[in-house]
Amino acid sequence: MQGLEMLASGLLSLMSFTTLFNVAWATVLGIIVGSLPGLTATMGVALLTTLTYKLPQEQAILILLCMYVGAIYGGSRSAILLNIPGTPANAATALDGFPLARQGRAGYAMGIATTSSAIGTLIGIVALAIVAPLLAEVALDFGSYEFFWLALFGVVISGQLTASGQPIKGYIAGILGLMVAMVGMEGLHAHVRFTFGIPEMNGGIGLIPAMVGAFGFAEVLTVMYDKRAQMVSTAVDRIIPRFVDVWRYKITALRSGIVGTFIGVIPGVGEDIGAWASYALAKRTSREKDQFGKGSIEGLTAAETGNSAVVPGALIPALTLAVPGSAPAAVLIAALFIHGVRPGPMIMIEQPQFVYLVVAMMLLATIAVTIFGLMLARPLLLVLRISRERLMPVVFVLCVIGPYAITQRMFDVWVMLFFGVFGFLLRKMDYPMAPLVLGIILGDLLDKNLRRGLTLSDGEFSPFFTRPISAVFCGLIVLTIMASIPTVRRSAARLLKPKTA
Amino acid sequence: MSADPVSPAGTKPARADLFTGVLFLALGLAMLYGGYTMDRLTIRQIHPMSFPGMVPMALGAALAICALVLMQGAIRSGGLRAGFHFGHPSGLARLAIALGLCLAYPLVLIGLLPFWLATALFVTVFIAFFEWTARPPARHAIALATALLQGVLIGVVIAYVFSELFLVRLP
Repeated sequence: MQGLEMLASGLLSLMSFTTLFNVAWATVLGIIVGSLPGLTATMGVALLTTLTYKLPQEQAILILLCMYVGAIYGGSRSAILLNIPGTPANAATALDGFPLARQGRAGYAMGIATTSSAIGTLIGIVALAIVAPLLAEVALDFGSYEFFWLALFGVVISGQLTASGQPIKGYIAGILGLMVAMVGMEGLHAHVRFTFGIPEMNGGIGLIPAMVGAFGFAEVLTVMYDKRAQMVSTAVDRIIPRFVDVWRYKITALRSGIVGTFIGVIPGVGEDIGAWASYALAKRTSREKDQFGKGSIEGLTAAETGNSAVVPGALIPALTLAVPGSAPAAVLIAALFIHGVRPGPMIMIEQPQFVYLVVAMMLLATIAVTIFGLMLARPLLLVLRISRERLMPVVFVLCVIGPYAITQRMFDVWVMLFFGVFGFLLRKMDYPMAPLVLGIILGDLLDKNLRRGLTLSDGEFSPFFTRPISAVFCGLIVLTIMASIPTVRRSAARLLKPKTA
Repeated sequence: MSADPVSPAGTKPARADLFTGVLFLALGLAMLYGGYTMDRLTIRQIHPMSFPGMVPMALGAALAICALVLMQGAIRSGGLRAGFHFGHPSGLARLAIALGLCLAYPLVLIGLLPFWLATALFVTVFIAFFEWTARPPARHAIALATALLQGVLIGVVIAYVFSELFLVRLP
């Protein structure tokens, strides 16, 4: 009940003209960013963080959340119309959205994508309101040992799940991220590591410049390198979906929402996996399997509900453990710190109303996405005509000035450039970016808690394995790594085969 | 975010994996050595198990192991023989030019010129160059004019917003 009261007061506090104005422009901007191939949700949130750091805390966070929700939804536009996912999260959307557009039902597909996104976000929001306080409660029992495992778990899981069929590359990306976090002054004894005598490196490598590089500059290079996309269909039919169509796939939507939320909670596993997992599950249980990939409404519903549910889901660990559930959530954590909010287990004690305020903000963002998504469908088509040659230099200018503006050091611009080129090369060789970023964020947590734990236990490793939560984490990590070794996987498959055959 | 969904999947650049594997192995070993030789801070009487080089050592070892696994996989899929190709030539040319322009802007132009002018110049040249090659000769003048217009507009607007509204001292 107390939660409901806080939610109501949170909503009431947001009912001002300034707030609603900010919700409107940030959501529309988010949809535009999402729908432009080459501008991803992570890039949008990262660049907007650099543009809103002067605003009051509440407004800045609201704007970033609207950008996040809007961008993940906006990506469905180009997936449906161009067969190019606007953000990686919408790759599964393109499978059925694009065939629908080819059949001249682009408007219908956009309508279904909009309602599915709204349903997905709402399911995630309910989970956020219920689970976040409970998780914060559990997290209060976390000691150094558990936080060490949690950090390791995040990097391992995200390496395992986001790698394109090669977990080893995911692990390497994760370890590289952790290594980046080792640079600068460490938190236990204030000893300076790996700075090579460069004074600017004492404070460590800034997350925002690294993110803007890896998701901004690297993206600019990728877009310029790839072939040009052609718009297929601009004919738009009826956009507002009929209630009957939405109701028909209610079970798929609900299930995809729950799957997406769950994927969101897993550290570092982002919207793209949420969409793929929901899509695969829907396909497996569908009565119209043969329609999938040819313009199935059910497939489209599953993909869009799945990726949107990840957004609030990813905020659950971000707020309560300071461990991001996705790459944009990682930027959000950095933004929260900039604005003086300390995410982590203490948040329900220090600022209990903040979690509910975020829930209220997400609700507003969902409403805005639904309204603008349906109303502005035709004008937003014009956005897709902006050529990449005209867009990319502007994005790059923002990549340069954004990180510079926060600290006013050219050093951060060099960091951005380095991560841009490095990120592009890694990406071309199929290394996932999410574990890299997660490693940069969690490196400090892992390092400090491992050594603090060892100090507390006087050099004994046993508490890392004997405390119940630690033991569970440890088991999960071992299982995950074992499952990614091909020989183990083959023998497991052999063992299971006789039973299933 | 996962790997770029637009890139052609299924191509296994085994030779590239072998090469990067060697690099990562070197990096891992260097980190291991760096962690091992790092100051143990014995003089400050910290707990011997909490010395600053411990996690870097572990990470270095982990990266070296992963690099070996990567190299083994690359050799098995023909990394020692396979030809190595890095995409299509037209894309490579565009990439090289985009990269050159993007590096020239913060490294050369900013600092040499006022920020708004550097930005205007960068945006104009970038657009003009790519539009020039993409359009028929009759439209070249239009491409140049619009590029110049957008460049100046972006340069002035961004410089104004950051210096006047955000109170940033521009580089």
